[in-house]
Amino acid sequence: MAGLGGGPAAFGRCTHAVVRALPESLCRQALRSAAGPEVDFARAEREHQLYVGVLRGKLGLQVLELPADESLPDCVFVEDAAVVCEETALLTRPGAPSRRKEVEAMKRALESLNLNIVEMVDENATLDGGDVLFTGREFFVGLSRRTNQRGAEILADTFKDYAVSTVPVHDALHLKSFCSMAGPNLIAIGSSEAAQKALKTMQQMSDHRYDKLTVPDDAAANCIYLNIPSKGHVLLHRAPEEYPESAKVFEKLKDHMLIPIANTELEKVDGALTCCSVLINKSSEL
Amino acid sequence: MKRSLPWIFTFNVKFYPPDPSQLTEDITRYFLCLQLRQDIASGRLPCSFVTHALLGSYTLQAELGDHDPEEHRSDYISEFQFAPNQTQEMEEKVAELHKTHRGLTPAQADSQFLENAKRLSMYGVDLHHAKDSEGVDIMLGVCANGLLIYKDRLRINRFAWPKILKISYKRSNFYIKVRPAELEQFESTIGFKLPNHRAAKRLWKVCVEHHTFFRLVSPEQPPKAKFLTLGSKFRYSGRTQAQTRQASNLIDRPAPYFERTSSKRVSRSLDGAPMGISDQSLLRDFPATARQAAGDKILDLDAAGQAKLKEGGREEDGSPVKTPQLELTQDGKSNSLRVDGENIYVRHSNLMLEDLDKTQDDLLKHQASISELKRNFMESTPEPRPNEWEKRRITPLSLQTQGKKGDHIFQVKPLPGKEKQWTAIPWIAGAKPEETDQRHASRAEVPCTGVSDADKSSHETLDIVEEKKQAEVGIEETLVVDETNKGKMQVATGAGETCKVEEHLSKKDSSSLPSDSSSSSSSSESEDEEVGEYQPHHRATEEVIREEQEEEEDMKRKEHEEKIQHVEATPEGSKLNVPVEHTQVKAEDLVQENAVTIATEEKNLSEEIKQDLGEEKEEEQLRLNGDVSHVDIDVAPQIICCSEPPVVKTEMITISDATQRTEISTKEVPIVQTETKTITYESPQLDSSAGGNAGVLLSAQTITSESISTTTTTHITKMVKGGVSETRIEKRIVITGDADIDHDEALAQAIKEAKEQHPDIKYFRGKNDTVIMIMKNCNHSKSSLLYRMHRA
Repeated sequence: MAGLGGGPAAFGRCTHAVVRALPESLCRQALRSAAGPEVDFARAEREHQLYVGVLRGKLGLQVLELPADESLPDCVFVEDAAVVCEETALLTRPGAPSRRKEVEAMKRALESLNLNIVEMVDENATLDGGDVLFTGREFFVGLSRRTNQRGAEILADTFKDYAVSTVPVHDALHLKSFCSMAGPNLIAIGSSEAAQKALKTMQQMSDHRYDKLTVPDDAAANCIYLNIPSKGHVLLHRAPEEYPESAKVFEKLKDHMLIPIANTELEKVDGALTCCSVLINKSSEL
Repeated sequence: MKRSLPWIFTFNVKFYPPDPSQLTEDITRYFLCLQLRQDIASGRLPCSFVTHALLGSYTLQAELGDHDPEEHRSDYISEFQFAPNQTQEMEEKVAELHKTHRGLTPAQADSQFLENAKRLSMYGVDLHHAKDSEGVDIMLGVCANGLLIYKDRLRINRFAWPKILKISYKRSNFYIKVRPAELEQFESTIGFKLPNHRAAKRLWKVCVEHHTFFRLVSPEQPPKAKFLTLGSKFRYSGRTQAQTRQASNLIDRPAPYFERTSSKRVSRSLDGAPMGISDQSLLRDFPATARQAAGDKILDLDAAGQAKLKEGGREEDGSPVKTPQLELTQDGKSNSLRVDGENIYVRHSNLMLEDLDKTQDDLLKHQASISELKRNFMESTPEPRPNEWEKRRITPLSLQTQGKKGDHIFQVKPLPGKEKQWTAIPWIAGAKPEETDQRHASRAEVPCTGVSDADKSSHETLDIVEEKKQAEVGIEETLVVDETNKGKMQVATGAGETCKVEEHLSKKDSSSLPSDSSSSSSSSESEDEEVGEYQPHHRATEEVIREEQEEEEDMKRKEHEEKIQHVEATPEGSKLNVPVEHTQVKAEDLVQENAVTIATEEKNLSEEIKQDLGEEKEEEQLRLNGDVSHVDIDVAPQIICCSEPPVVKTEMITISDATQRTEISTKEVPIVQTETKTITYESPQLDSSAGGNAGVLLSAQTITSESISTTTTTHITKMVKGGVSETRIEKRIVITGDADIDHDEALAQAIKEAKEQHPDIKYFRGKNDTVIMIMKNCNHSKSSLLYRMHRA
């Protein structure tokens, strides 16, 4: 039995994942920060199936796939609905009112996994999971258009073992729009000014020194790190076809098993790799 | 119920080791566990449900061993407290996890406990309430790595030690000066508002201590005031982490045997059992014979001290505190006291009055004996000790118990409507024990003296006093002691390796103490200092800092050291008349560029001898007059800045009970008389009345010391004139290092500073660049301060 997630050494361990199918309403109604080309639904579905396939087939996770809900065009981005750390899940109150109902299905899914569920009931609080970066040692919460101070406070109350530092996020939707964890002690970070500024804040706030992996493209800095017993360090990152320069940077990670994943369609509606799953590590199946 | 309550000792850890696995001995880890269990159960160290359960399960494994289905039935767990809000569900989880630890030894279980506890984000963080510059409530957390700023549990900023150039406080404000960020040019100063000036000072001290302990290889000496400046001289004087580790490497002893006692929920009992105490064996060692009620106390212990305590700890006469082994600290958080081999501080609260199970006669007698003791001492600031921690450890027990010079006792007397205050009652070997209350005098135990209401009129005062050591004791003797001790160093190092464990004495009924009484005063200085500052030396163990900065800082330090002594005159009303004047220095004596001569009171003796430039100030009846000078006033942030020419600042001094040691009579002297004794310091040339009255010279002494840039000559004479004794200290400090000082400018600056400090001050320029400053802020005495600057 490991406490505190078994410590940083156990960072990235994962047994379960919660994902959700895409509704067709996504193409036209999903929130997007910038107008642009329309989402090709068929292609988006294929890419998403590939993504789920990697989690389930290649990495052996138990994947709970929630059905799409046409009334919730953004529901595929499950990450925003819940923050799970060890055995505790915080159901969020998403910043976008149109997304609040996404939490309901997530709640049922997490309950089925016997997690300790904490709900964010405070009506002044908003929090999107996309603004929450857990490093294995601490949380960073982006204060963005979607996440406010009160939401961060509730997160801090929920995960008392960890320091929770706030990071102002400008010029991006979420904190994780330009960063993520690429290893137990490794922060992948984009090159934009906003990304670099946020990184600086995080470095100042932390007692711990993280290594950083700077990639040219902010969107590519959002990757998924997993520690799978039979495979070791696993990194899901954006495909070279999408971000060739950033992919070269990832390819320098010799210890990682690298899995390129295309995400061209969901990116049009601000979706990144981490957005599409909630990863859970059930260490004790008692 | 309030009577005859026992002293309760608990441990408090002061510095939480970042990596407990590096501790050498199991017993040390065990102590740390005890502290953490209490921190967790009290909510001071927040953790999640799962962590509560996990840590609780390790506690069970350590204390009960393997889970035994026969013995450990359903509710065996309810007797333990694991969390502030313990639920049935949590207890079930604890039990469940306990079963999985089968086979772990107690030591292993403790280690597991610590491995998990150390990762908690608030582990080792000392929190202080404050407001930011906009008046928003925040928390400041001091930890091994620096200063953390929290708002509603969220970390909103962090300042690592290497980033901090200076920390200071002024009144209730606390400031940090931080290095310029990468692209910035200027240093910035960030101010925080603390609830009161004591809180500000406490925070400052905690910062000084943490910085020193975790970042420096060895503690700094307390600053030497180079000129007339204000400020706290407090510095951490214990071992640093680096020294502790070094010492623990030398530990060469069989693992000490100790017994893990059950940490069942004592805190829930209603019958006067200790709050959250974890180690009941301590209770056994400190039987309920102690009568003195008091507030919380803290003893500083290390493992060795602790061991000793347990072995030899029983006292037949019920004296509750063992002087030599314990260090009562009164340290920030817990309103406590520090007692070590040399300093003993015992706080008395109002409760004491009720706890004294005595007749009025007894009380009077008792009081008389206190005053007897009191007469022996005067205020002084602490002499800089090389390393108190070291000293305490290496000084043989016998020496320590002898009440050798340096031992002193702080006694706190009840102040109506005020917080407890401190009074030092020095303990002198050879003082007539039979005259003192047997309880506190017959041994070199801590005299826990109670004060009765009856004596309030004369005792409701605060004497922040350090023992007035005779000047004669001086430096040589100290050195001798040190040398002797060296030989014993080896023996001593066997002991505590880790964190300083403080023992915490709490009294059950201390609830009536002011809740913010954590603002107790320090062992070595007055709590009333209003300003202080500290510039961290970045001689970090890990981090290399540019030399330039280092030098720059050093320069600043040299030029700017501050201290304040705030002591109070306690005299009874109207009779006090304490003119403080300054002796003239003849011009021809001044061979060198820049000299200051000051006559100071004897209270400054010990520090003077250590070549601190004592500045003076005076203030009378602070308390009686309503504590005016301690009112926290919102002042615009004002940072004491350094690297200015020498600065003169006036300072409050207190004169109280300045009777000469040599005058002590064996007869009992009424307390009132003692308290109102007036000492006059006279300068023949300024005060003609004194000139005519030739006194009897008792002693004269000249001490010279030199540092790189200064030569300090202290001339001390003791006279008796017409029954009044007078000690005059003439001190001349010659600054040779810096020829560029513009004296006029320095003088102007000095006057400006003085005026800022005390708007009431009157000054005029005398001959020969003499400035005389007169402060008329007291009702009953005229006082004057004279600063003198001479050209070469």
